[in-house]
Amino acid sequence: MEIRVATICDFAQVREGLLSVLSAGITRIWNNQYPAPLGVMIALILEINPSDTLVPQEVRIRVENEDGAQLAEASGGSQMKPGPGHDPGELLVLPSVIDFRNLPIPAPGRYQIVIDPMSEGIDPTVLAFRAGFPSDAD
Amino acid sequence: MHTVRVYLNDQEGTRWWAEDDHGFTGCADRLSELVDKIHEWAECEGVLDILSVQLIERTPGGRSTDNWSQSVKVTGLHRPESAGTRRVVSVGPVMVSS
Repeated sequence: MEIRVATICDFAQVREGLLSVLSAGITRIWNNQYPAPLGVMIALILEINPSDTLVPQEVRIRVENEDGAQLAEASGGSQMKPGPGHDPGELLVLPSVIDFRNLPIPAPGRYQIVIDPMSEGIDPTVLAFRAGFPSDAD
Repeated sequence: MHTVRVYLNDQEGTRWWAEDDHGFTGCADRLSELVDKIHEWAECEGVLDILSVQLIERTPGGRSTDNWSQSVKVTGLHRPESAGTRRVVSVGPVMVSS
């Protein structure tokens, strides 16, 4: 399994196997006070080798603060079956969405979202962002 | 075909568990560990050649189509009591990783 797309966005959904993403690439989140809801979603596209479809695959997504303390974790499993139109050896594409909109962010600071494919030899993908006050943007 | 069904546990306890129609049950915190346990059990039972491990979607947030299934559990979510007005500004490029 490989992570082909990983992004922090306002909203994402999967419909008919396709990933729709709204306002992706977020790296700054402003709130007037804290704690405040994170208010974002994670859009993913995973690429799975056909040989890895015999068993389910796991992905874990952790939200951590700058000290590495974990705020939340999403555990996901997925399994695909190549369809009749699938070419031999063709990689399978798996779009996925994780909803962190209600996750409370306790204080301003730097945070990161770690997407771990839980596979040996594959490094986690890290999406970093900073939470701050609107005045920080000036 | 001997099918073992795998579930993401949405209760307390180990994260993943599995069962079949003949009394097998197993659990593990990592999905790969559970799959290893299933394979070891299937080898002992002599059903490894006909084993099918299938992820069963159970959570409302999961989605499925004809050719894939998915289960997702998020822990640590609750709405804070004093949520302020929020504004999200995108200042960076879309993250694409390979």
